[in-house]
Parts: sequence; C-alpha cells; structure tokens
Amino acid sequence: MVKFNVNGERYTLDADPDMPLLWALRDLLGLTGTKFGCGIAACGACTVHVDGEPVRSCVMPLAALEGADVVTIEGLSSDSTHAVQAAWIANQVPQCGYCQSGMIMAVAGLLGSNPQPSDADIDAAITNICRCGTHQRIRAAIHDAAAKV
Amino acid sequence: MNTIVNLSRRTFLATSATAAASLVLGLTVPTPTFAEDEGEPSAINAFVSLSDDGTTTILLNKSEMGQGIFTGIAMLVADELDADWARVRVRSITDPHREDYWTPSYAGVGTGGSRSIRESWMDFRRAGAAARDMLVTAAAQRLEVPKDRLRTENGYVIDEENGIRLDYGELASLAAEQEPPAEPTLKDADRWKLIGHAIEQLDIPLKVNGSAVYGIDVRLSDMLVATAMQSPVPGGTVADVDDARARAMPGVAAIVRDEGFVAVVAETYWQARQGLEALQVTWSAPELVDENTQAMMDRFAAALDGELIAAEGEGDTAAALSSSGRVIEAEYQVPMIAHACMEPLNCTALVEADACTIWGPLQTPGWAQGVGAGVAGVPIENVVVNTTFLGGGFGRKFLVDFVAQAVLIAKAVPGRPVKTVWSREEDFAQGFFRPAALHRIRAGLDNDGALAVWEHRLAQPSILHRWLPEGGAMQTPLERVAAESLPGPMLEARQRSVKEIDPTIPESIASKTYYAIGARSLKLAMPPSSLPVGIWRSVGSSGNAFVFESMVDELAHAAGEDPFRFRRRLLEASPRHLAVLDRAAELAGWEKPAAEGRFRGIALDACFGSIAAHVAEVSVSEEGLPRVHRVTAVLDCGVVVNRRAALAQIEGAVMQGVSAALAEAITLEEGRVVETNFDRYRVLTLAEAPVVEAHLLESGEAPGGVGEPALPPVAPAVCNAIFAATGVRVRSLPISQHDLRRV
Ligand code: FES
Ligand code: FES
Repeated sequence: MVKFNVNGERYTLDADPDMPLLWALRDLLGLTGTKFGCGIAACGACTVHVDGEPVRSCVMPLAALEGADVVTIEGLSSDSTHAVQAAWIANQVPQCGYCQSGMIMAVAGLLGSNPQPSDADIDAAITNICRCGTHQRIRAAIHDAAAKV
Repeated sequence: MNTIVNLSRRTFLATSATAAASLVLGLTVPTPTFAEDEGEPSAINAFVSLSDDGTTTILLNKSEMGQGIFTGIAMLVADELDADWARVRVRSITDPHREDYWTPSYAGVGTGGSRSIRESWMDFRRAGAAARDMLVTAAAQRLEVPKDRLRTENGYVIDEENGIRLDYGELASLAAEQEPPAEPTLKDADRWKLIGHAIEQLDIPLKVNGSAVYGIDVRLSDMLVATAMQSPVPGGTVADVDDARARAMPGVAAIVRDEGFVAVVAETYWQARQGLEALQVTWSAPELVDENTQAMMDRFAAALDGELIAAEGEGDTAAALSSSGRVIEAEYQVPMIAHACMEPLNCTALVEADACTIWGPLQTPGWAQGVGAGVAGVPIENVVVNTTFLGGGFGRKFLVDFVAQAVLIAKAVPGRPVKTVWSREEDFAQGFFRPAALHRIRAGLDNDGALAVWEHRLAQPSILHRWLPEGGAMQTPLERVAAESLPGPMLEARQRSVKEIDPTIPESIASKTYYAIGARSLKLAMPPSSLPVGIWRSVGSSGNAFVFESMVDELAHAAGEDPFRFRRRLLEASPRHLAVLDRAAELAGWEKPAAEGRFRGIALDACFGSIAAHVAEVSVSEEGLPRVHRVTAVLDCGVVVNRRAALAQIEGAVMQGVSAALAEAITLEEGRVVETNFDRYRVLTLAEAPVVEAHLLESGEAPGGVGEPALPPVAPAVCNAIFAATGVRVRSLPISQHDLRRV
C-alpha cells in the first residue's frame, strides 16, 4: 500500500510496489498525459515532478513514493497558463506532441531551479528526445518562458 | 475556440471507470472531460456537417501525426465554405470503406507520400464550396429571394438589400436537403482568407496539457492491456511456449499464442509486461537470416555482380565512359534506420460476434479496416475504425502488422476491448526499417567539365512487394496477415503501381532528369532483406539523394569547380530547380566566406512534387567530431496552404535528417537487431540541434508535398560540408562511424 499525492489529490494504491510510477499514473489513475517512450530513463517522455524535481517516472517504483508529492502535466496548471505551456503555444512548438508533456515538465523543472538558463544550461538539462525535430522552437520557447517567469 | 474531437465523446466518457477499481482504494479517479458534442448535426456532404448551434464540423480522412494536416484540411474546407473559423471543429472519420474518402492513388484511406494536400486539396475545397452553395440555396428558399442576391461571410448567409443575416446553424437542416451542385464554384486565390496564411495548429492546445488522446491513451470500460513478443530474429515463428509461471501472475487474464507471436493479456501494462518476461518461448528461424550487417552487405554486393534490371537509360553510357576525359568511380552505402516514433506501436481492438472496433494511431485506417474484417471474420462495413492522434508516424504506422496483432489478440478475448502496447524494445526489434542499400557509380566529365555520363548500379531490397499477398517468403507472419487482408480496391491500386520494380527504389536517381547529363543508366538488384523493411520519411529519396548529391559534389571537385556553380550548370534547362538552388545559396551567403572554422556544403533534391535545396554549415573538431551549426533550407512546394505548418515541417525534416545522417543506424548481430532502445539507437537532442533557417519559395505552381521533400538534401549537404572541412569523403552513413580528423 503506497500513499502519495498526485496533482494535489491524495491516493492510496494497493499495487505492486515495483510498478513504475508511469504505469500507475497511466493505467491506475487514468492520467495519460504522461507518456511512455522507452521505459529505461532514456527519452524523457515520462517526466513528472516528484517533490518539485523533474523525474523520469518510468524507472521510479511506487515503493519509493511514500508521502511524495507528484505533479503531472495535467496538474502543472488548471488551464494551460503555466509560463512554459503559454510559451509552447506562443511558439507553436508541438508537432505530433507526444514528447511534449515530458519536455514541458522537464523545462518547468529547469526553470524552477535556474530561472534564466543559458543555451549551455538548456543543452545539459533538457536531454529529452523529440523525433519530430521541434528543437529550435523548444529552445526559443524556453527563453520566452524564462523571460516571463 | 476550435475544438478537436479525436475520439467520439461517447467512447471517451465510457473510459473513466476502468478495471483498476480493485487496485485503487479511496480515491477519485479523474475523469477526462472532452468538449461537448455539437448540437443537432446535419450532414451536408462527406466532409462537412453543420449543427443547429452554428458549429461546423469538418470530417477528416487523413491522420494527424504532427504534420498539421487537421488544420490544413480544415482551412481548405472552411475557406471555401466561408465558415466562422472560431466555430470550426474537426473529427476523424470512422468509415474508411466509404469511397468518397479515398485517396485515388491508394483507392483507400491513408496518409503518406506527402499526398494529402497535393492529391486532395481540390476535393477538400470542393466539399467546402458545395456546402456553401447548398446553404445559399437553402437561404434563398427560406427568404424567397433569388440566390444571386445572397452572399456568405464568416458563417452567415447575408441578404444585404433586406439587411438579413442568417446563421449557418439556422440553415443546416434545410441545406442538407439540397441537391449538391455538380461543379461548385471555387474562390480565386485573392479571396482566400485562410489558405496561404500562417494559421495556428488546432491541436496544439491539447498537446501542452496532456489532453490529446493518442492510441496508447485509449481507455475503455472493461478494457484489458496486452503486450507481445515476436521472434527476436524477425520473421521467425513460435515453436514452443512454457507459460506456467506467467499464468499464475497477478492480473494476467490470458496468454495468446499465434504463428508469429506470443502475447500476455492482463489488467495493466505493467502486469502484462511482467507476464511476458516470465514466458519461455522457443522460436523457429525464418528462411533467410543474415548473421550480421557485413553478411547482408556482402549479399547485396553479390547481387550487384549478378543480373540487373534496367530501370532507366538514355544514350550510350559505355561509349560515353570510354570517351570521357575524367571518370570517377565510387561505392556508397546506406544503412538501415528506424522510425523510432516517440509513441511506441499500439492498437486497441474489440471483437464481437459480428463486429469489430479498432482504435489506434493509424496512417492507413483503410487497410486497418480490412485487417479487422479479415482477422475477425466480419463484413468490412461492420468494422469501425477510430483513428487517434499519432505520436509520430514517419511511415511506420502506414503498415498494419500491429493492427493485425491487436485484432488477433482481442479475438482471443471476445467481447472485451484489448489494448496491445509494444515495449520500446519490441518496437525497435520488429521495426520495418529504411532498407540498406549499396550503390556503385561511374560518372564522367567531358573536356569542358560538363557531366557527360552517369552509370548507376543499386542493390536495395524491395519495400512494396512485401505489401502484396504474393510477397511470400520475405514477409513476417503478421505482415502476411496484413497483406492478405488488404481491401480489394487497395490491392488493385498496388498491383497497378508495383510491377517488376518497386517504384520507390529509383526515386531521386531516375527522376534526376532536371540535371543535364549526357548519357545515363540505372540498373537495379532487389536482393531479399532478412529484416523487414518499410517506408521511412521520404522513402527512396532519403538514401538516394545522399548518394547522388554527394557524388555530384565529388564530380564538382574533380572538375575543379565550386559545387554550387557546378550544379547551376547542370540546371541550365531547369529554371524552377535553379531558382531554389540560387535562393538557398543566397540566403546562406554561399559566395561570402564562412566564419572561422566553419565550412559549407550544398545539395538539391526534388521528390513528392516539390523541390528543396539546403546549405549546411559545419565544423569538425581536432578530434574529428562534427557539428552541424546551421542548415539553410529552401522548399518550393508550389501553393502553400498553411505557411506555419510548412515551415515547421521543414524544420522537423531537417532535424530528423541531421540526426539520421550523423548518428543513426540499425545493425545486425546473429540475425537480431542490436539497437533495441534509445540507449543504443542514438537520436540527437537539443545539445546537437542545428539552427534551421526554413524558407518557402512560392512559385505558385500546383501544391507539392511538404512533410518529406525537405529531408533528402540534408545528409548530402552535411557530408559535402564535411568534405570541405576535412577532405574526408563520407561514402557511408552514419557519419559518426568515420574518422574525420583532417586528412
Ligand atoms: S519513458 Fe521514461 S524516459 Fe523514456
Ligand atoms: S513533437 Fe513529436 S516527438 Fe516531439
């Protein structure tokens, strides 16, 4: 039995403690905004915030989450008005969009700890994969969001 | 605000209370909410439905995989309809057997070949114009005035003289009863309000808050989740399964064994995955196994030494070669690469007594429908196909092996929807890769440095023969199921286009007639492929343009001429191509020196009805590490529908092309794919992303393709720049395998 919070709601899950947070979010809680891309922490599609830090949820077992505060893309803002989401819309970043939940969560995490990241900071912190090649819009949107945070 | 419905609301609301109840205690299961359905709808024609509340719903027969086609089609229909853009919504069709939704070249519903706009833009416009005409007829009846006194604007029919404005919603049901005009009048281009402008993507708001529904996100009442494995040596069959441990695992509902795969069906993906790992499966090897990549290339080389099929010929190449003042010979290799869509393959199916329902990220709903009918054994019109958003497609989701598998699995649990989700490892291991290829070229210059002769031999496995029922030994068991379920008209269309030669193989070689070349020949071998191969963004052109445009660069250097000016000479009789090349050179500042340590390469290609020329700017470090700093990309795709989407497609194609050229390859060991996840299959990230300067050259010609044509010139532009930087000629990809320390 694991007790933790997701987007401000309290949950008690009676599930396999080895089950990664990703699958608990998607299959048990119905929060499908967090995406499965690789399952080995290599692509970033599953990024959520755990106690304020960006985390790749595909390798985070439920057992490690007792008492944690989890925020997913659905909980980043109630109306898509978080600075990063707004910058994503203004810069028309997504193509297929599949990587973008993870991108947005990773970037929101980065701006939380480094509100004015340089290009080098961005390169080092945002290692998520986007197969559609939206990278330069992502970079532009990060600077945009940073200017408004 | 526009709304997108990518699953019907009824389907979606049914998804909130899923199987997790026993696992979840004391909590509120969040209910995904979706926009309310429109008011009472009236179908005006196949593409337009109007509601009494004034909402215009545009029905889409094309799949949205990031290329922006939902917005593009909506713009075409809405512009001719004079709809109120703010009240336009879009919805995917679910009945692809209806002929009015077919793309003529496929004789079915499918999205690929950068065809949506260039092949169907007039159909979409006509549908909008016809609906507009029917609304005006309805208004004329209602107001008892002649039609020609009425005009339309922004969702209203207006009778200026009497100061009356009728909302389209009020006229919807009456309009639906009108006879559609035989030839609806289309707007002249100067009256377009949407077409040709930069319009925001309708789907982007859903893609920044997690609410867009991809195939993998489908949730239905009573749904089970499955995951499967096929033979690690692709094409093999199941010999034996020991499932005792898996059966006893929590949540496992069924084990499904078929000719070519074993699947575990459970309450959640995680349980299914644990179950799959607990299976002991023995496999029978397929007919053809290449021990490793070298063995495969050796086979290709042997095929090139054997009998070849003539694909193109003009003039006497042998004579031209012997009289040429300067002959250059080169061998080029193209590796296999993976689509690696960020959304792994998945598909949901429900098989009932006389019906089948499919949900999934489908590029060919028409083929999926045939598969549903064939596998479930039900009439095709009883198969409902719900196309979700696609988390990338790039050609992989044009195939329906994964649909066949999902329906086979669901058939074992009749009456319950089953979502089959592939692991990333399975997605790579069972890819349908861009085929590897081996090219041998002899080309000669005459005394003036003009290109006198080009003799090209190419060995590449066929892609399209695999799609036919007689594709035979090359097919994997799931491919065979898919090929045999192809709906009749789609099969006939394929048989018409695929003869002895797979027409995708010579793309961007045989079609390079815009270059002035004295004598030319192209001869092919089509050795079988041990790994499944498929269409990868820009298909034949992605590898062939790398080879052709690199070789042109070699010849320019041999002639002692600047590669841009050498190409200009080749294009003397092709003004449209020349204009694209000139624009790229001008925008990249070709004639001015590059910054210290930076070097440029140029390449041009034409495919899918469009022309693209790129200039890449690279540096190579002391240690031989290449870096692509900037790509100036110019695309002439004729009339542009959505400038915003077209520019985004150029940016994306260039980035994907740079990643493929620098880093990507699928290799073989013991008949298996080595790169089975992103730790081994390297895809470039932000740190290595170039700046892409995307430009549209608006020639005003008929629309060409947008999604693919900007990709092929990327690899050669980069490799030609690397040659300029280092003197190393890259004749095989990826670039990362070469020692680029300056020679
Ligand atoms: S799915 Fe977690 S990092 Fe890829
Ligand atoms: S937008 Fe498609 S993977 Fe990033």
